[in-house]
Amino acid sequence: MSRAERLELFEGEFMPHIDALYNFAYHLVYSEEDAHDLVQEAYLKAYRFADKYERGTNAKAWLFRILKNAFINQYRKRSRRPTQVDYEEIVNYQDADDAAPQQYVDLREELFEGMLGDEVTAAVNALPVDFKTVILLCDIEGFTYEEIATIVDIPIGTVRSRLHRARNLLKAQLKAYAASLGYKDERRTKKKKND
Amino acid sequence: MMYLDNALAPHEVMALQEELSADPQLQAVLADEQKFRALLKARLHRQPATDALVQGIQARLDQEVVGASATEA
Repeated sequence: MSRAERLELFEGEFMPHIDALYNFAYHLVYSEEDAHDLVQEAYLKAYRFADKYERGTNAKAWLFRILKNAFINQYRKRSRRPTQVDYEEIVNYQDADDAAPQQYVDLREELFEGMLGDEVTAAVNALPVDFKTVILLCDIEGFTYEEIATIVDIPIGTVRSRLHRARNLLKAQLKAYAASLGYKDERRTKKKKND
Repeated sequence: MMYLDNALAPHEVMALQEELSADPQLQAVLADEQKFRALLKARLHRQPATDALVQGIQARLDQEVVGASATEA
């Protein structure tokens, strides 16, 4: 691939996704500086390995996969430093997700309605990183299970179960926020009264 | 909730839609889930890329191109 072709591909197919990539990076690391570094690293790698990308296919998923790998490498480096965050505490690769019970957490609309973006954002950012990742990829970026499986490098069944657990965890956190704001799940109260 | 993720096979979609049409409780669960996801998407703060980031990428790319030219020369 010539340099001109590489640059054209970069501008035409890679750069249009910079907002989505930066948003994903920001929520992963919750620091503008670290998110800048991650996105720069991802774009530099995309440029270097542009010949591995098949033009006209899924540039967004390809870039997200590169960024996710850059994120893992960044935290691996940090975990070797004693004062930095322990990588294993952040990313749980012991995928017990498939064995998780498939219960459904109900979140009443009116509980959620009263919440501001700050609370929703804080709840998402407080999720363990592997749960936050699937929520961001599926519910915010709209990737399919297959695409998420490729980006995160996990089986589709794990994507499904991890998403389920992530959403339940998020709803539980939002319920706790709602309760602290004085909202009550009226439906549950009424049901208990009727019992 | 694979239905909302468009992850069901066509025959599973049909079976679920049939079940939905006869089950108001299931309809309510589905409606709550749809609203939850719509509100999550609408309320999560989005961080757009800054001009500084775009310029930073451009600068690193220029370095890369210059470095490659020097190697070729």
